Amino acid sequence: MPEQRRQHLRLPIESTTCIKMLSSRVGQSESGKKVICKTLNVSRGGLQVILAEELAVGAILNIDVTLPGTDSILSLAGEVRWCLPSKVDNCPWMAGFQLLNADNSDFDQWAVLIASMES
Amino acid sequence: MAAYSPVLTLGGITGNDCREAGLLKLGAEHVPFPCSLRELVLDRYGEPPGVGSNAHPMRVDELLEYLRKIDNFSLSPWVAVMGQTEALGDPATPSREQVAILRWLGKAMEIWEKQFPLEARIANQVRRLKPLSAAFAVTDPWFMQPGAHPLHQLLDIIQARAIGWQARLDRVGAVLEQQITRAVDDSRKWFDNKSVDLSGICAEFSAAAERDQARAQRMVQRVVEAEAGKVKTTAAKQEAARMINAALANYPAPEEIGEFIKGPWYTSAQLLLLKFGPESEQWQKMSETTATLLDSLQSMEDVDDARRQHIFALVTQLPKEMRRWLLSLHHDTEAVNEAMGLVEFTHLKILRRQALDLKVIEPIVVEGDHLIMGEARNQGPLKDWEEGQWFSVDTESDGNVRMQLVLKVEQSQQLLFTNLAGIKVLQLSFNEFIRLAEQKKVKPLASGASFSLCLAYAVGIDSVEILDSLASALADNEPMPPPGTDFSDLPDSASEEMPEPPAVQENEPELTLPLDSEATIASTEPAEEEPDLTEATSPEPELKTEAASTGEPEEFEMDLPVAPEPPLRPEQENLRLHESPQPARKLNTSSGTLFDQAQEIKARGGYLHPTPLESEDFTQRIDDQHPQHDSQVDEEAGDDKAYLVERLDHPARDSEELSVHGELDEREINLPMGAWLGFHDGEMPLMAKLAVHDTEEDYFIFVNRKGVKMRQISRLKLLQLIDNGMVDILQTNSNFRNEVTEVRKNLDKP
Repeated sequence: MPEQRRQHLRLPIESTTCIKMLSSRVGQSESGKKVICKTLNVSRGGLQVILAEELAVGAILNIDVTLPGTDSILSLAGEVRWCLPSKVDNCPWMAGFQLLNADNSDFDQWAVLIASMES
Repeated sequence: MAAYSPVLTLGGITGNDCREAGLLKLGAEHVPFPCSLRELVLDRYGEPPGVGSNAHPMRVDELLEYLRKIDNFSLSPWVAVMGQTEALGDPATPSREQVAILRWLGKAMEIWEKQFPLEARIANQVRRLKPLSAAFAVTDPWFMQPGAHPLHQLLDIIQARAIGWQARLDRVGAVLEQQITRAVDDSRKWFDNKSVDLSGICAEFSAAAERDQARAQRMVQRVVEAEAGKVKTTAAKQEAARMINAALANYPAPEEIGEFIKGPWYTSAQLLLLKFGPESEQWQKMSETTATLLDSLQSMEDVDDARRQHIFALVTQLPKEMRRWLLSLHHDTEAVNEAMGLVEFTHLKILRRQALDLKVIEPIVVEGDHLIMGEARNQGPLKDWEEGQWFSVDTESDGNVRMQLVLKVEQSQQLLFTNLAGIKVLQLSFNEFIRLAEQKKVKPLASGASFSLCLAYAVGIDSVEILDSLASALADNEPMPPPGTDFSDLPDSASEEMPEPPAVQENEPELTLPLDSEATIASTEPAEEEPDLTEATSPEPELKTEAASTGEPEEFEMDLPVAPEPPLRPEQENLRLHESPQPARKLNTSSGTLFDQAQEIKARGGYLHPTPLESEDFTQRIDDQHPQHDSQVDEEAGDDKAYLVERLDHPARDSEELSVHGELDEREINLPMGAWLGFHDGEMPLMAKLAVHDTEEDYFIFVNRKGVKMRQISRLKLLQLIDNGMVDILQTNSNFRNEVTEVRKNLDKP
């Protein structure tokens, strides 16, 4: 998509991200399956990550991001909009998330932080 | 514990316990009274004729003006008026009748504030109605008939509605405080304009109170349903564990099969129990399947041909049976196949006569449940506390908190309490609550025609028997009260002001005798409590306001009365001397409606006992599905998804059900992210996790374990499903943040 058509500016920020790919079953104490990955870029409405596993397009997952220069962990909910092979050996997949304005998430804080980085 | 005996005593006023024994106490259902208390008031509070002088009788308009000017509302109206006349050097004094009525009203107010205390800020507002009450008492004969006057009704309703009000409620309580302030302000305008419609003010306040109460009740319903769901889930967990543990105790099994049984199979058993109940055929069959599975895994060495044939038949049949009951994996075909593959592989090994490593599997340990049926403490006090009862509880963290008991869960021995807004504030076990009560940290708060009853208490009427005696005495000769008095045309002369009902006490010694011969609730020596008016001293408050302003009740014993009937003017209310008391219409302010609500939920949820309709209906449905289910599980999973997609694609279905009660439902749903819900409104139960609550668009998205959207539903539709018992909250702990923190910690380790 041409940059000028994008709703929000993409910022090339690399940050450690944790994605919960599989939740635990009801009543189980196991913690589900999480993957640690890196963001390639972020915007107010989404983020792009590079990771070792393929994600199902359409899945709504918990994403946990720590932006550089901040201490707090932002807990977000995002929908996988696309997932494509990458050329990086140890992280063969790239995925794009659209962030959802979910209650109990840090979406508002995220938007404020990104907006401050845009300016 | 004596403090919670249902017997009503007005502690600290008189000692009339002996006389009360065996008498029925008065309740809201006896209001309005069928007769005037005027003669009793004059008899009890009036100076004997001839005592004192009334050389300068005070005109009614002068008395009303003195009442209007009262600015110290903690004083008895009588004391406040005398304080003003003393200060001005006005020699005029109210008539003997007026003095008696003012003293009676002061006493009634004192009892009311002590026995039905409101928190200080509201109590101060309500106290501003004291002079107005006094004005009506001396000018309007209806005021002498408890419950008949609009002001009685207004004060009754204010007390009932504000019983749970606390300053700590902040914004939640602000609305009620404003409503009370407005009602008080509007009522007091009567001093300047005698055509003020007090009935209208009362009706307006009552309507607003009922609306707020209805809103709070909906909140309470959610709290109750959530707890009922938890109890149901816990019981399902226990029952499922019991069944599986019993089977595991009989058969050793391969370790991986043990993991499967204690994992997805156990979860499925819980879901099945939640849906069908422990008495269902489905549960019976699943239990049999569990035992059959474990039996089929036993060694084939040294078995006869019949057993071998039996196992062979089982091996082909069992996976189909198991797929039926694997509810927890219904929407995860891959997981179902994986689990079945494990079972089939194990069976294959058995048929090949390969040795299996059978082990005794450790039983499932159910953690965190509180279905403790052990010995409780003496639960006597709990018998007197029904759902709907208000309490003031001294909590260590928040001081005194007013809260309403909304649910007693016998099964788990838990008590749930909500505040005025219906928000859960406390959950305690029976024992914890009894312990608090024993430490005097729990005080029951009563309501229900409270002010009207205190008017009667102040003349010693505190039992049905006494009231009946009084009513009988007046039945033959008391005229029906005339229609409403026009206050805009008050007489100027004290001698004309009081329409005098026929005197009764002299003709009815049987009435006055018990009241006079024994100590009664009201002060028997009112003169001792009033200031000596012959001395020019400043009047002292009759009531220590600190006691009332603390907002905490005196220790006393009483039942919870039900809310009063809607106001009736005396002309509408026949003397009901020989009628059975009619059940009072509830104003949604007391115990009745919440109790009914909790009962309904209990009946519907039944703690693992589905209603016959639900059970029958579902049995039919699942029977219809058997052929397809057995043979085409994968296809069926696809159908389910299609069904869900169909639902998502038809928002109109939701919008059709937007208005459950013909109004926009404003209730919030406070589900934490990650909460697992079981939906039972579809053809198959659906278990899904809350992934998104979009507060702006007002919808919820539920996903499966992999994040695949299973259901998008509006808040209103979800509320409707919850209201209809079609949603179980299976698990509400969302610990993703904690998990992430742990992961981060591990990552940060050198």
